[in-house]
Amino acid sequence: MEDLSLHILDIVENSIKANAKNIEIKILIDKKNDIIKVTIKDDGKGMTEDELKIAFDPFYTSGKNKKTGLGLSLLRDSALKAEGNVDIVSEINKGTEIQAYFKISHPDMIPLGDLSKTMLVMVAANRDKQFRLSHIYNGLEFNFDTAEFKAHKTDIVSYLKQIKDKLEEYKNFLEIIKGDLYGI
Amino acid sequence: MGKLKIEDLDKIAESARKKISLREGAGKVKITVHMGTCGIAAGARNIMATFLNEIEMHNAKDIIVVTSGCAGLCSKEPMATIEYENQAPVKYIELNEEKAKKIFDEHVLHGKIVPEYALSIGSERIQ
Repeated sequence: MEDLSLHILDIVENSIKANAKNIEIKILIDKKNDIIKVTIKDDGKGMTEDELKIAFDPFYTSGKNKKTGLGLSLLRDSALKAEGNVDIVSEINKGTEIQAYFKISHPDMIPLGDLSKTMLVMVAANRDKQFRLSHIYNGLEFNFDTAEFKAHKTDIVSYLKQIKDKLEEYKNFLEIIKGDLYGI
Repeated sequence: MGKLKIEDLDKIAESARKKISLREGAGKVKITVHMGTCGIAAGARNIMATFLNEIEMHNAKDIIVVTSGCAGLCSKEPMATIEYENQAPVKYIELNEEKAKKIFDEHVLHGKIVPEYALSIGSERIQ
């Protein structure tokens, strides 16, 4: 994966396949302590202890049509390259929490990518799920909660408009971060 | 351009009816973008974003957009499946933004399959 936003999209797809109804994404960028922490928490079907043991194995998948499960193993690969790692906490019928962390200043740290596009795509294509995003950067905070949008009462065009309006704010927030983090 | 014939008017009316029924909720089209790890790495997010833009641009309110996992054809990603009302699903392969726009204009809005980008006609599930 080229960037963090694509990893997030990929891991959230796992939550969707696990029949999660609520998906919470937290992105914490702590410049002072040189760390980015991404947490994705869902209330899906969870993993058994045996599944947890092999969750990072690229040749393990819960999918029926394929023989590889690369999502988590690629995420861990990106994290390890930037002196980070990935932790998984999961309980059957309760849900799963994935936490990935990275060292910001590491030369192999992947870029943040287009986080706003990731949000747009995952929210618009899963109107029956609730998404919450909390992105914190040095005291600044952006929050996004699909509960605001009343997906069931609106058609897709109005829903898209509402999401896009909110994500315009997120784009501005991300511009500030990029400027500050990378001086661009 | 020659004079319009009655048949031409019928054709125009029919094509407008289809477009309007799609917009107003009588018609149903389902767009599935394959968002497995392979699809995402190959650019599925942009394909989905393109479809969403087209939906907004055409004010096409009666379209269902969903994602699905890997269909087992990773080398053909990005892929999308279009299910137009009363037609068999069509799976499109090796998409890019231009192809997605064309598929939207022809297949999603008018039910006209774009054979040059299609892999096959039928369901994506392998039993």
